[in-house]
Amino acid sequence: MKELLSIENLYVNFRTLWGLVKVLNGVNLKIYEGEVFGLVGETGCGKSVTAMSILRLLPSNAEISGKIIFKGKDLLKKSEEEMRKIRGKEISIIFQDPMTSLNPLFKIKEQMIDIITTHNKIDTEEAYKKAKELLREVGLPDVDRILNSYPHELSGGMRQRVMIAMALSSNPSLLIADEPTTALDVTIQKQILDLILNLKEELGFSVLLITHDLGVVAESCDRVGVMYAGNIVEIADTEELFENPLHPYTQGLLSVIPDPRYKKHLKPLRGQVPSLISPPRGCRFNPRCEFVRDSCKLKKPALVEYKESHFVACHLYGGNPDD
Amino acid sequence: MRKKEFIKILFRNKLSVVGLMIILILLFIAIFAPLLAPYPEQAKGEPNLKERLQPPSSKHFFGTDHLGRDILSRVIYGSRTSLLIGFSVVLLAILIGLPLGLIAGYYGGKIDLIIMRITDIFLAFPPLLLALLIATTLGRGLINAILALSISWWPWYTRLVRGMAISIKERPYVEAAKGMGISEWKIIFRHVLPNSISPLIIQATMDIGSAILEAAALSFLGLGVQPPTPDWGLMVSEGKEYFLNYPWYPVFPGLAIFITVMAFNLLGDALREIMDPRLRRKFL
Repeated sequence: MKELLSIENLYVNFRTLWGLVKVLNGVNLKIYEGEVFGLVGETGCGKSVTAMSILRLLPSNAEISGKIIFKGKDLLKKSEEEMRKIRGKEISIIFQDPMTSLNPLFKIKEQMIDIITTHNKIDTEEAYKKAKELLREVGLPDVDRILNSYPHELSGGMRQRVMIAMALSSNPSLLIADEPTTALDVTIQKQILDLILNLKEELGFSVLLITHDLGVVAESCDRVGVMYAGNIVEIADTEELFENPLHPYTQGLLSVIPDPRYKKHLKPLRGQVPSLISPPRGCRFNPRCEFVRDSCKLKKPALVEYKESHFVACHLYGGNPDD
Repeated sequence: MRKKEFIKILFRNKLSVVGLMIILILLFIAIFAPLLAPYPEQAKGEPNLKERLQPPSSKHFFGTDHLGRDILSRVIYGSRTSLLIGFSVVLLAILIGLPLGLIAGYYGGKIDLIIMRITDIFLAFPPLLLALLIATTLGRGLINAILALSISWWPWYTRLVRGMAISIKERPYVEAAKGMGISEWKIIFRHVLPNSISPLIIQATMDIGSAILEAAALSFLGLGVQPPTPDWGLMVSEGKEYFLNYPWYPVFPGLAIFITVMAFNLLGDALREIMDPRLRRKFL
């Protein structure tokens, strides 16, 4: 498999009135061509910040360092103008809330034509044809009517399909889906996920799927990265991760999925997510970890390949060479 | 919101219909003033000393002034001056204030800081005082009154648009547009501007009334429109000396100012209710 995107030692801090918020603490991950990579973690762990870093759309108070290699080139070294040509054309994104992701004042066709003509040198008429084609591809009926509608005239599922059509309008190699189904009801969730997976098979792009829903991960991802407080703590193939979680945090996450077959109490993780202004020294998970050792409080564990293609960042598994 | 719905709601509110009607009638009067005024040449200033300070009669509905000119004709012609001032002051102020507000709000940072401190300087003066100061510096006259008022007016629009731009630029559809590589220029003009404009329209509508009022105040103080131009503020100013014995002289132009300002306020209020979905519900 060919590597498409590689994030190396990505640090992101936000300067705020309350101090420096250390959001990403050395993120490392790779996405290969044609795969669906899931990024899971709870709210505020840095999933979306990772996504926005890839597109370089962080707010102006962000400090960013590390490398984001996309097709062999470091995105962090590109000029703003070069980045603008990559956004939407090479890397596209769809967001959580389709209800507010479209400008309420313009018809769907105007917004789609805008995006199509930004990345392709074609006239409005051809762009309109292309928009129709795209909407059919994402499984919408009666495309002429939809193109002539305003966003508020469409349902949430329809709008998310429109967003997907817009995101795929220039055949990107990477689609970032930032919680694409969180705001939709369950049946529509399934439809939208299936749609993304089918289009992926057909068009051959890779997907970075950001979610906090382990069910979504199990159903759709080839590989998964688990994030905790700005670190990737574990990366593995989906099946391997669910059967053989190594990191205590991953184990904790999986143990709180309710199983309707057994009436048993869930075992929640103790403690709370740390403040990212003054995160714990060493492993950021150490205050909540059952297996905490002295070294956990001193040194940040590195992400190492414990088994074949199963990476984990934990001192229990030799997170440091000199451990 | 579609046009039909807009019109439906507008007509649901009776006061807004009243405001709109008055404004339309005013526009009609202003446009057809030469045909409507019984004594057009007197309206333009020609004295008629034989009929000085006549009370209202069938010949002069609103009476005559100290130079014997027909007050009705002068009030009719005065609508031209007032509407011209009202619209051009607001338009000029928007022309200066809107782009500055958009830039300040969208880009933020240092440029925002600089623009906002400049508006603070302007807003630190009482508005009429600043307009007086500028009018005194520029000299008397219609054009200078318009300039003076718009120069003291634009910072309000800058602040208003800036606030809207700040909130709109964080909306998901702006993020989504950025994520899809839409150019900054297009984001500002297709996404931020159209979505920030409705409070500006409301404010501007009400401000037309206030601008007319302030222009009248400038004229009253002798710094605005100069005689013999027919102007309501000027007529009130000239008429004030005759108020006790010949009350019709200042009262009719004063009433014209009052009705006009009220009409623009009513319409502005109605627009606000239409454009704010939370207030709209009570009409639907």
